[in-house]
Amino acid sequence: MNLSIVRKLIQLAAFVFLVYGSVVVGFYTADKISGAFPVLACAYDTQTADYCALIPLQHQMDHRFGAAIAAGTSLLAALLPTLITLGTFLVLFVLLNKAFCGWICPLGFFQEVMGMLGQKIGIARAASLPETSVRRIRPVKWLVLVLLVFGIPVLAGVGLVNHSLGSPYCSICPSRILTTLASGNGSQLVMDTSSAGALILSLTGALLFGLTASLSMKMRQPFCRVCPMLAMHAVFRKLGLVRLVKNVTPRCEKCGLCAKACPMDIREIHTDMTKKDVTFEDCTLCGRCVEFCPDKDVLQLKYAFVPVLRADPVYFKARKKAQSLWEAGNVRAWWRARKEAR
Amino acid sequence: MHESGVGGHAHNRRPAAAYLRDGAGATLMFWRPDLEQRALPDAKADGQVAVRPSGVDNYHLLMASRSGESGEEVALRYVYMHGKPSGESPRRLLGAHKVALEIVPAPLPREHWRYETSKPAVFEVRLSGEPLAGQPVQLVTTHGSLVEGSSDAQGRVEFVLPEDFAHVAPGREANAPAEFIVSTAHTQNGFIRRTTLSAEYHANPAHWQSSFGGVVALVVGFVGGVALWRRLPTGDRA
Repeated sequence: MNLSIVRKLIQLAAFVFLVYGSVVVGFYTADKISGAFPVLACAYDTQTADYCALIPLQHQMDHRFGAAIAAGTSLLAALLPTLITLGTFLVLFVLLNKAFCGWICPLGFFQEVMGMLGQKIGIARAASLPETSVRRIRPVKWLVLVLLVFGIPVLAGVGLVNHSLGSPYCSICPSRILTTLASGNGSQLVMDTSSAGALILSLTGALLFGLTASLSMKMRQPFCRVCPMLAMHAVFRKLGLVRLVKNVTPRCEKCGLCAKACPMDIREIHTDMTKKDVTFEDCTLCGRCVEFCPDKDVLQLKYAFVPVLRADPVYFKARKKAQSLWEAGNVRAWWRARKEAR
Repeated sequence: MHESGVGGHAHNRRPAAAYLRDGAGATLMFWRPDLEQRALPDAKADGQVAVRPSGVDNYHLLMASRSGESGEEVALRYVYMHGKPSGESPRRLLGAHKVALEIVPAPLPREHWRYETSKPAVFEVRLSGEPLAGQPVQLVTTHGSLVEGSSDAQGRVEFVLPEDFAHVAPGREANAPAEFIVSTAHTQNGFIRRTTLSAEYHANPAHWQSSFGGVVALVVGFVGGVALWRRLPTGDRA
């Protein structure tokens, strides 16, 4: 049993809770727990047990903040619900930091499952994206957060764009389609012809879901790289209790296995030789870099000051062997072996 | 009983305007999510009932009742109000014993789930707090439709809301909601109890949304992703 297996079991449990949890905790609980969960758990899924902060934030920008600008009323009073949502988000976020992405998010888990499916079919995993591509992609999540979660909803509230664009991020979010489909509800996988904006957003959402599903089979976590939740997490990441810590050794310069293991292609885990806290803005705290670090205690996953997992040469060897065995067993390899046996 | 100016994401805290039809002589009660009750002033001549917000969020209940020697009539309306978190689940209000013959939504609408045409709406009929089986129930709409049903062993009755919007414009906000009234009557030792429950319902979005178009876009996205596989770098990775 290694960290990746434990993590996948936790992801599975979180997926069941977030997609079907109301069956256990009751139909109305999602309206009650927080509405500020730090993962993409969808309010459109009527069986969910909790839902993410992005939908109330968009509603607040549209119906409160934007409306207050249009009416000329108190902006501070209009921002109060947003501050409460962000406060609740922060309380939950402090507990797990960005591990909400790597351990709890249903869309993150779906992408990993698609990756596993791809491997079992025999699709070769892509190598790390080139550094230039990674650098180009990184600002997209901030643009999505600023424009789709805050900007356009405010414009809708002011009345400068159609009100159907009041929650534009949810309209394109692949998790909305994933979690509703998973709960047997096909109402979110649609082409909405009510307005030009709704048509573009609904088609973009469905396209993005299809794109995320197929890209996940070849590369790790394609959607996570542009997810606004990752950007929200990045803002508060210094406040979370879970940290990725690095104790640099001279061997780090030649190794680089941590960067190769990183699903988000964060090369800085390898190249940065000065920082001790290496919880970079794209990190999802999945812990793979710690698992694949061959030098004792160089990388550590810590909860507050307590190490949860430390890099260890014995663990590294066992983990690498397990990975090789996992990758070797696939349909394509089986088919090839069968043909050769004939 | 019906509301005006409430629905969607209207987060105002102004008094809600409710209207009671044929309600002469009725006593009006207002229930908070924590089951605290207060009497409301009598309805005006045009049926308008002034409802001051409670200051807390979640579902509240408006109840109009009148009784005589031969029977009792009750009208129920669940109203969502915004305010400070009530800390209560609607289950508490729904589960409370409020009137002898009761129609209980199962469940009440919540965010992104509302009553829509061609979709099922389920209610539970209770007598003295217990499920009432085999009870005839009917649903009428302000668009003139009538649907009849009967409660099952658990007191539950399901109606598919009629597709009765004469003109549906594209977009939810382009279509004003209509009202339905679920009603039932029960006679016991010559004493007749009649209860109604009203709520609003909306045109089904399927009028301006195409599932086929959504599936096509998903497939195009999936194939596009596969086409991108070739452009991804190859080589070792842990």
